[in-house]
Amino acid sequence: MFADFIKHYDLIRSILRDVFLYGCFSRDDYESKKRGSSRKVSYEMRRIQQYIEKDFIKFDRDGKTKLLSLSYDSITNTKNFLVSTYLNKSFTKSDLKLYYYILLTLNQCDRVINLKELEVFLIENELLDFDKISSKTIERKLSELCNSMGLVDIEKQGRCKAYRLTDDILREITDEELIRLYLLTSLYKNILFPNIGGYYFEDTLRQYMNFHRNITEDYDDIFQYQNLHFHPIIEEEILWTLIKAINENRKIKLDYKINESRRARYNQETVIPYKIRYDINCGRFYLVAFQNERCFISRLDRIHKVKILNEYYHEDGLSEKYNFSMGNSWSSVHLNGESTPQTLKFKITINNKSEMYIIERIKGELKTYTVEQDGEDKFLFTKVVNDCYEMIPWIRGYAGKIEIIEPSYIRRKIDNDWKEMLKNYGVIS
Amino acid sequence: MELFHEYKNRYFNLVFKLLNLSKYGLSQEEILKIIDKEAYDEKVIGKDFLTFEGLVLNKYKVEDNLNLLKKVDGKYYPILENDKDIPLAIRFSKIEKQWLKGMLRDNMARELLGEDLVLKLEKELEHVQAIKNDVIEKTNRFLKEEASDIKSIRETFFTAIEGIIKNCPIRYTSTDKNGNVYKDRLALPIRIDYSLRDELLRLSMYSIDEDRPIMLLLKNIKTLKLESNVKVNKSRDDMLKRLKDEKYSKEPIVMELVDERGAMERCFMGLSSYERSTRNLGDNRYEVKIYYYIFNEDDVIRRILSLGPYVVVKSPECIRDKIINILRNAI
Repeated sequence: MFADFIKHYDLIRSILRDVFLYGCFSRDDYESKKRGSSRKVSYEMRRIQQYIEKDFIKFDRDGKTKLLSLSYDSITNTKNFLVSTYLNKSFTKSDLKLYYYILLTLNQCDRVINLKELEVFLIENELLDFDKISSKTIERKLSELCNSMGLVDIEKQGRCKAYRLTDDILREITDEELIRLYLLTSLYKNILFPNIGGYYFEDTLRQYMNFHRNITEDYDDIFQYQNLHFHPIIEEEILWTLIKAINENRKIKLDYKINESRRARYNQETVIPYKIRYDINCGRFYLVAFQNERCFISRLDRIHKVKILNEYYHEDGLSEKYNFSMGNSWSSVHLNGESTPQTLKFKITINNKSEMYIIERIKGELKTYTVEQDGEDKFLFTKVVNDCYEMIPWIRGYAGKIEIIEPSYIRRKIDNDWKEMLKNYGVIS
Repeated sequence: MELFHEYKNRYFNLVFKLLNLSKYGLSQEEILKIIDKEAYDEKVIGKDFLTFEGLVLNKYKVEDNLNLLKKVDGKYYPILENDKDIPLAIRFSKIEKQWLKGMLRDNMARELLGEDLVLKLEKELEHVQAIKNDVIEKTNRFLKEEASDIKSIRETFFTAIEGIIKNCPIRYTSTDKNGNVYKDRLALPIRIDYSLRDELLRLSMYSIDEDRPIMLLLKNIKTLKLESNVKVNKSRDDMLKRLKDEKYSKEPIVMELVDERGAMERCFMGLSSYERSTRNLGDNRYEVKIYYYIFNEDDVIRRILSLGPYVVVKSPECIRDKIINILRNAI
C-alpha cells in the first residue's frame, strides 16, 4: 500500500544496526560490506529516516559523502526510538478493510456469529462484494484473528465455527489498579524481553485506559535506566522466533553468518535451540544450541533466518549438557568434548577501607568464586571459567587493581597490553 | 503472531484511533489534524498517487476508498455504529498477553503490582501460553548476595511516582551504606532509575536543601512523604534541562580506534548508550567522540580501558592524564 513499508524486517536489520551503532559509513561502504546494492542501500537508508523520529537523526559529512547516524542521550530520552521501525509492515488495502469490517461487525453484533451470518451482515451493510473478496479470504482472516493474533475467540456451533471478540481481560481491574499496571508496564518494557512485546502492550493499555476508562493523565517518562542498550531490539524478530521454538521444544534450521566474508557453518543442519544468553555489558544475544553431543553458540545479530521445523526434541539430559558447556562460561565461550574449564587466580590490594567497595563489586560480578583474605588489605580470588581469555576485557576494566597470578599467559598478555597502551600514549617507547 | 506484524503498522493503528474517536462525529479538519500528527510526511501512498487522508475521507472512487467512515450532516462517523461506549473494543494480542504473563512471573513486578491485582490478571491469562522460565539468561550482571526486600520499597516507589507526576516535593529520611542517617531532607523527585546491571531501583531527585541532583537507592529510603504545602517554582523538565546544562560533558572524549580483533564492534556495542559520533579515518582507523554525563565518567573510562591497546584517547587532556595514571599504576 505504501512504498516505504516493507514485507520483512530482515530487509533493514543489517543497515539499521550499522547506522545505529557506527553511523560513519557511506552508501559505498555499505555496498562493500555486502549490505546490498547501492540502490538497495539507498532505499533502506531512506526508509530508516522515514521510520525514526527526526530528533534522533543526524547527518554528518565526510568530504562529499553524507553520513547518516542516530543519536540520543540516555537521560533526555528514555524511550527506545528503534521500536518505531517495527511499525512498518506492508499490508494491502483489502487486508485493512476486511480486518476492520470483521471487528466492527463483531463489536456491533455482540454475540457469537458464524461465517454465514457475518457475510450476510456485511452484504446487508454494503460492505462486501463477493467479486472482490471470497468466503475463503474471510475465513482465512478470521482464522488469523483467532489463532495468530488472539483478538477473536472461536467456538464450535454444531459442525460450523462461530466467532466473537475475546473477553476483556481487564474488566475486573479497577482504575487505580490499571494505573499501577500501566506504571509497571512502563518500567518493564525496557527490562523484559522481547521489549517490543512490552512496548506493544503499553501502547494498547494506554488506548484501553483512554477509550474504555477515560483515563487521560500522562503517566509517561517516569523511569530512566542504566546499562540499557537500544540496539538489541533490532534482533528481537529472530529472538521471538527462537523463543517460540524453545517454548515448543522444536528443532530449527539456521542461516548463520560467522563473519562478513565467510558464510554459514551449519545452515543446512538441524539444531536443538536450548537457551538464549544476553550479555548486559554490550547488549548482545547468543543462542545456545545443541547438535548431537556438541554445543553451538550463535550470535543473534549474525543469524539471517530461523526456520522452525516440525521436528520435536526431548529435554532429557539437555540441562546437564548446558551446565557442562556453559556453567562456567563468562559470557559466550562454551566447552565441548574433553575440554575442561580453567582457573584464574588474581590478587586485589586495597589501599584503605573506602576501597572495600571494589572487593564487593568484584564478588558481585564473579558470582561463583573463592576468596582468601591475606591480612587487612589483600584478597586472593580464584575463579573457575571456561576460558580465561574471555575475561580479559573485564580484567582490563580494573586496570591497576587486579594482579593476575595464574595462568601465566594471561598475566603476560595483560602486562603486554599495559605496556602497549602506555606506548600508544607516548609515555614509554 | 510475528513481532513484525501488519496489525501493528502505524497506519492500521491510525485507522483504529479514527474509528474510536469518531463515535460522536469528527469534522474533516479534526480528521486531517489527527492524520497529520501520526502519518509520515510522505502523503502519497500506493502506485496510483492516492493519499491516505483521501482514502479515509472517501474522496476517490467507491472501490478505492477505505469506506470505514461515513459522512452524516458534515461529520464523519464509523461505518458501523453500535450502542456501546466505543465502536471498536480494545483487546490485547497474543504477544501482548504472553509478555504480560511473563511480567507477572517476575518477583519485583509481582510485589509492586500487589497480590490482588496479580491474582486477577493470572486468572484472566490462565489459558495464555507462557514463555518458559529462564529461556533467557543474563550475563555480566552485578548481583549482591543479599536479597532485596521489594515489599518494603513498594510504598516509597508509588509515593515517589506520585510526587513525580504532581511535580510535588518530598520529604525523606535515608541511610547510606556506612550507616549515616539523612533525616527529613527535602527534594523534588525527577525519575525512578533502574539499573539492568544490579537490578536495583533508585530515586533520581533534585535536593532542595543542597541545590544539586542526587540519586538514592530506594531500599535506603526509610520514610518518604509528599510535601504538597511546599511550593517549588521549578518543574521536573527544568531540572532535567539543568542536569544537561550542568552535568553533561562540555567537551566529548575523542578517541582513535583501530579495528582489530573486533575492537570496533566491542567499542560501539559497549558504548551504545552514550551519545556519540564517528568518523572513518581510513586504513581501518576511526575517530570516535563520546558525550557523557560527568557522573558516568568512571564507567566510560572503565569501558575504554577494557578495549585495551586498540583505543587511544586524544582529548580532553584531563581524561588522557587519568588513563595514563591508571596505566602507570598498573605496571
